[in-house]
Amino acid sequence: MSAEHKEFRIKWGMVIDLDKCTGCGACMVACQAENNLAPTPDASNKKKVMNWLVVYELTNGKAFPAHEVAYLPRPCQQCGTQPCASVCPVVATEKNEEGGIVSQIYPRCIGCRYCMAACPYHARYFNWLDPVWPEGLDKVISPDVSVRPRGVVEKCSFCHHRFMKAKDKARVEKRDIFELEDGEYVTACAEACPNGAIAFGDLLNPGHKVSALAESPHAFRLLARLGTDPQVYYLSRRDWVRAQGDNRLAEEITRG
Amino acid sequence: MLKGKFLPLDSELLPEGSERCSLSKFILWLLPIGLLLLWGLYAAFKVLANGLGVTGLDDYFGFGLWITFDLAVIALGAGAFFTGLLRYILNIDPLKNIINLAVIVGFICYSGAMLILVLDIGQPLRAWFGYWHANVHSMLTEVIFCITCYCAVLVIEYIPLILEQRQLDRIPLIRHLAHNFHVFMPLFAGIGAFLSTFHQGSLGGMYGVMFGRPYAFREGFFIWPWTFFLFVLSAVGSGPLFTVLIASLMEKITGRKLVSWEVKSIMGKIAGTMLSVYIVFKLLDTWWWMTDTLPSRAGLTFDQMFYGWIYGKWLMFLEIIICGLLPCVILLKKSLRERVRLFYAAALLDCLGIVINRYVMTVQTLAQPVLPFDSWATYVPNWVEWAASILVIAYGAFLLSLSYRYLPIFPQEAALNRDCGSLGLPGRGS
Amino acid sequence: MGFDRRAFLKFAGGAGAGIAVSPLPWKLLDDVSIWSQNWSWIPANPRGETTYELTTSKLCPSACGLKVRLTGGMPVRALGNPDHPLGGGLSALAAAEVQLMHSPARVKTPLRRDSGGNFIPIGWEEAEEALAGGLDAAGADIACVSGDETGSGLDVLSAFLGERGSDKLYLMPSEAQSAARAWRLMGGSGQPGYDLESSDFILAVGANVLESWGTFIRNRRIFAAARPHGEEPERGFVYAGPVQNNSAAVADSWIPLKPGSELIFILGLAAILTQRGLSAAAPDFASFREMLAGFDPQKVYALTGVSPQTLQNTAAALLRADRPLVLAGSECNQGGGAAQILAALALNLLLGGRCLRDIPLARPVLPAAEGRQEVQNRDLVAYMAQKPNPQALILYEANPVYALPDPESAAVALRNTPFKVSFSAFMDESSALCDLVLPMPLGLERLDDIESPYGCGKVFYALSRRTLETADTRHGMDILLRLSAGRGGLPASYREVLEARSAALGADHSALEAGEVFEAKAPAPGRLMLLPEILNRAAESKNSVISLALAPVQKIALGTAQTGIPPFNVKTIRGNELSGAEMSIFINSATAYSRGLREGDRVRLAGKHGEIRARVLIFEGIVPDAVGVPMGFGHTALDVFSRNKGANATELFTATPEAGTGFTLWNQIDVSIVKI
Repeated sequence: MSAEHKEFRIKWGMVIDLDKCTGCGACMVACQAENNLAPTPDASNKKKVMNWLVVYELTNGKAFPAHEVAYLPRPCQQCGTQPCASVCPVVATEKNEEGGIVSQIYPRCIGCRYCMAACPYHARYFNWLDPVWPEGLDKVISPDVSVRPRGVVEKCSFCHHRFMKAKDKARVEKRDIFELEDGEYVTACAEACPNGAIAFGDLLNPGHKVSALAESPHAFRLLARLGTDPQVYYLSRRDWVRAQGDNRLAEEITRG
Repeated sequence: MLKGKFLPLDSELLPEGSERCSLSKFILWLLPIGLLLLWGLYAAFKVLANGLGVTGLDDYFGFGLWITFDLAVIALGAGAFFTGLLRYILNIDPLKNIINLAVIVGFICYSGAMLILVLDIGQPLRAWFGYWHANVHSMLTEVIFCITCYCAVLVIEYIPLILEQRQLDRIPLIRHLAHNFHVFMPLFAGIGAFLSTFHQGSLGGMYGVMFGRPYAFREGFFIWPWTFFLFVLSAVGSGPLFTVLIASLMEKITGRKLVSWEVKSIMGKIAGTMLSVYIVFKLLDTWWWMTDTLPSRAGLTFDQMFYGWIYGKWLMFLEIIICGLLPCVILLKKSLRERVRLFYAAALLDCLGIVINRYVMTVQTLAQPVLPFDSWATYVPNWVEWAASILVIAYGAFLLSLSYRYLPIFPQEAALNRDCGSLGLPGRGS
Repeated sequence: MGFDRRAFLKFAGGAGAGIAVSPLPWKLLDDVSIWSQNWSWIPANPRGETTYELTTSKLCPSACGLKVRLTGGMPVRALGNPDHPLGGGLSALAAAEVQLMHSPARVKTPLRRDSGGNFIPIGWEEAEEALAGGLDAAGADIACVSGDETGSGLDVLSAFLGERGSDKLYLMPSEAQSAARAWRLMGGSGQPGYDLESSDFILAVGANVLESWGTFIRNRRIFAAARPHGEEPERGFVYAGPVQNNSAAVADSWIPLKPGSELIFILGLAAILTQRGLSAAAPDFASFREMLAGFDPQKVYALTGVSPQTLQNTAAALLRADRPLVLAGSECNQGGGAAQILAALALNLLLGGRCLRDIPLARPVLPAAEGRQEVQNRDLVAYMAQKPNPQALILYEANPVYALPDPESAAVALRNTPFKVSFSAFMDESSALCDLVLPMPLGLERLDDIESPYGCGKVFYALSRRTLETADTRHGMDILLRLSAGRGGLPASYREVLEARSAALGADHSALEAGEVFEAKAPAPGRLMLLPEILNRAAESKNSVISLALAPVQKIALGTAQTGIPPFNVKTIRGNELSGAEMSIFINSATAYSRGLREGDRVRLAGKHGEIRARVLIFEGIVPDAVGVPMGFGHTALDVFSRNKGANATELFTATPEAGTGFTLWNQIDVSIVKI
């Protein structure tokens, strides 16, 4: 009953340059508006706030003036070997479509939260209560993503609806839907970032810049040694930032 | 019933040859239980009406008190299948004197766990999707299958007990039905043992397969992580003693002898044997996890798995040594086991150890920060979670009280109490 | 044989069995997954055709380009517009702009205060009558505060006041105002422009260029272009300032500066560069060089905390660059004074000034309107310090009661004014004190203009456009023009003003209305003065000893003084910044140790006028003996998303006149910290 590794002909991935992220939060706001996450008047209990994308603050842990800070946006890592999909009792989350996006089927989810327990990235969120939209704000629901009721788990979908739209467009234009141009399909967060910190594309398509970026010597993935094989890569020229991508033993650190 | 003595109003319903308190006293006893039940039902209503946001659970602790409670009662309720296995399949005859209680306790534990699960899942209306859209790769699917099926088996095992009720037993059809149930009991005991072994194991497997959670993740054999086997062993190592503890608690409350010491001692010896097997493997597993799995698979050290007081190493020490090794020694050494206080202490420690195990596997697993830039999270269950858990306990007490009063579940009761009954000692309690 | 009990039971049993073996139960069960998803209280997705409209954000101070997505004619998303000269992506504020249109903080109808002090909703006829009555009663004694500094509304306000005999038109204080005034002191004609696009090295001193300074979305697009993913940056970027803020997080290096010492740091750099032989073609260069002799690296170190080595390295980096640009500013875009901007401009001139532009100010298109520089030269903070009590006060998209230093005295001034009216989209702190509140349409709901926002490098002109008809708002400018009824040569509608503006710039108005942008090259500055005396006097005043300096930090995600925290932005607040109603202030561990404080301690921070309460957060990205205080919290009006969250940093601000320039500033604020 171990998790299955899944590969497809196309593999949507992100390469986030942490040396360009200022932590401004525009991606988080764009994500909420695009994917219809209800706002909350008090978001200070971060363990109960629905956010498909969270920007973490990283510190090198040194005292002033040697202190450095970095920001790390964390969408769903769309793992190649998913800790979550393998444990779902009702196949409400799956990685089965071209593109390798881990889906979440809201009408099927029974809300057992086993997937949340299994995900080491905290990328999954539960609708603890029904979403509340202040009067009037419910008018600006975006048309592409349904609003989830209470009792189901949800997570970043790499703005999957945008993939569908890009495919539709390609079909109409009689193009190969598996050979979308670089930038034809991007997520709301990547699109919003004024610093261009989030690159998005097909990791297997040499025509997409992410395929080369993922091979960069500065690239790393979060908790890669757990074997999750994420499709989200991070870049940093700073050693201390890269070091925070994974857990390392003392002897591994001294070895460098 | 002895002539000349005051008879309860419902005396015609009571088991033959038993002595029960007055009906009003019984109702008085049920009153506080009923109040707890109502409180729990209120909490359950809150959850179903408003959603799980009313609990103390959060996105870090999707599993909390309820899952711990479920896993604990399912482990402790293992007395039912294991005693059934020993009694009906391996024909250890003296266990017939406690098997009825084991079945009832098992039924309470399993039906209670299912009740909690209905609250704990966000979409209870879709609970049956586990069958409809089953993911055969998920340990939880197997848990859903086996728990529901086994609960049905427990119902089947419970029914003949109900049919043996004094008034029902007078109806020939029911008497024959009950008899036929008994004939087939070894079959159900076999099915139960099979189902139970798998879901106890799958519950452990649920944690062991979480390769993203280093505290829980274990390597294993074929598709089964080591936790699969550990959970089975720990359940059979504690379940029988939990049944004994319940029997003794009932004796304390009613003031009547219900199960002979001999039977209890056999149960203790069997549980102690299983517990010792468990502890050996648990120690091996912990050692392998600490020295190999953790560093090589997760890049984490043993020390990083513990934090502060609430998630301290003392819990692990308490679980494995104080509540594991110590009861093993007491239960396996006859001279120690025969000392009543030591025996009960060992039984309590054994059960406590299993509860701690289920707790740390649930809560500490989720509290431990896997992302290097994250920090330990803390979880405090709120009143809703406590109330719903107490609902199950109250429901158990309620069912047990009724079963004790109206059903002949203790074959030894009449014989064990004959002396004190003739001396006119009062039969207290329910 | 009738239908007896037995027959009924038979029938019921048969029906039950029939239904049970039919597919109905299974169908119903399966449908559970559908209807347990679609409860009536879960909002449904809108339907309709998707269209897009291009526009420029009037709401976000960056004036970034927007592509608004509409579904069935209803705006649903604000997207970025990479083709826009000030666009690229979205700020956290602009990303929420569409949702802000439906924010609970909006003023939904005109409101008038009744005798009991409560607001009552009124109709527009009554509102405009009340406005006319209140203003007429005040005669010429009317003051006006505008929160809009880039729009032609300023012309209308100026002409409107002028026609009534008042010249008391004030802008909410901003960096733009300080910079334009510094620029004109030096002999520039309009406002300084920065050609960031062509610059190959940027030194930002105090200016949070990637978060809140100038046209920050454009700044960030330029930054992004200069830094290909994972590669060595093509252009250098160094940030100097008291806090390791969002700009510092991605800078090549962060130079920690004591709060308020930006001027000294810049002069220190200028001193080194003049020693290396750099000069500027300014008439007063000689005395400038002489003055700089007083700013040797040791003295600079003592005043700024920047080591001589770092200073030398920074100077060397500037020298190495071909087209370096030094940008000075204050973290919160206000109160930094003019001297540091003046010094930075002088430093740029030493370095060749190739990235400096002289952007002409918007010329008045209404005959009765005064020039922008007259408006910019008026100092609202100085005016408020006089404790004025005009008979009437017009607040035009301004929230002085929240945003001015010492907001309490602004509130007192407002209370002492017999008639005050607020043109505001949101029920902010100032509107809450007014007698009449007139709901303004937001940028996406109105036709308005944006001309050359501070920080841009070219003449820029764009219109915001109406993407949604909102029933109960009216543009304040249209109201005032209607009220003037053609007196003083004022046109009947604001659109005419905007058309005149387009015509004056030579832009195609209809193209602008369709979302296009007008741009024109701005000339390089003419011969400028360096004003060493002013700089020296301003620098000398920096010697004062401060025990604990206030270092405000601005994040645009928390909105502006008018918007408050947009609903969708509450989640961007980090867990260590705000907990419930309690916000954190931050100090480094050395500061904490020296004051006996620990993380989580509750403290009272007190300035000269006010105090705030907060919790201590240990953050090592701040200079010693300074306390970082986030801006944007502590709203007492607006809605649940803004209210009851932390405290307002402006409570701690104390404005003082800047030596040399005479403008007010509040960037060297001594505060006390006490554990409670």
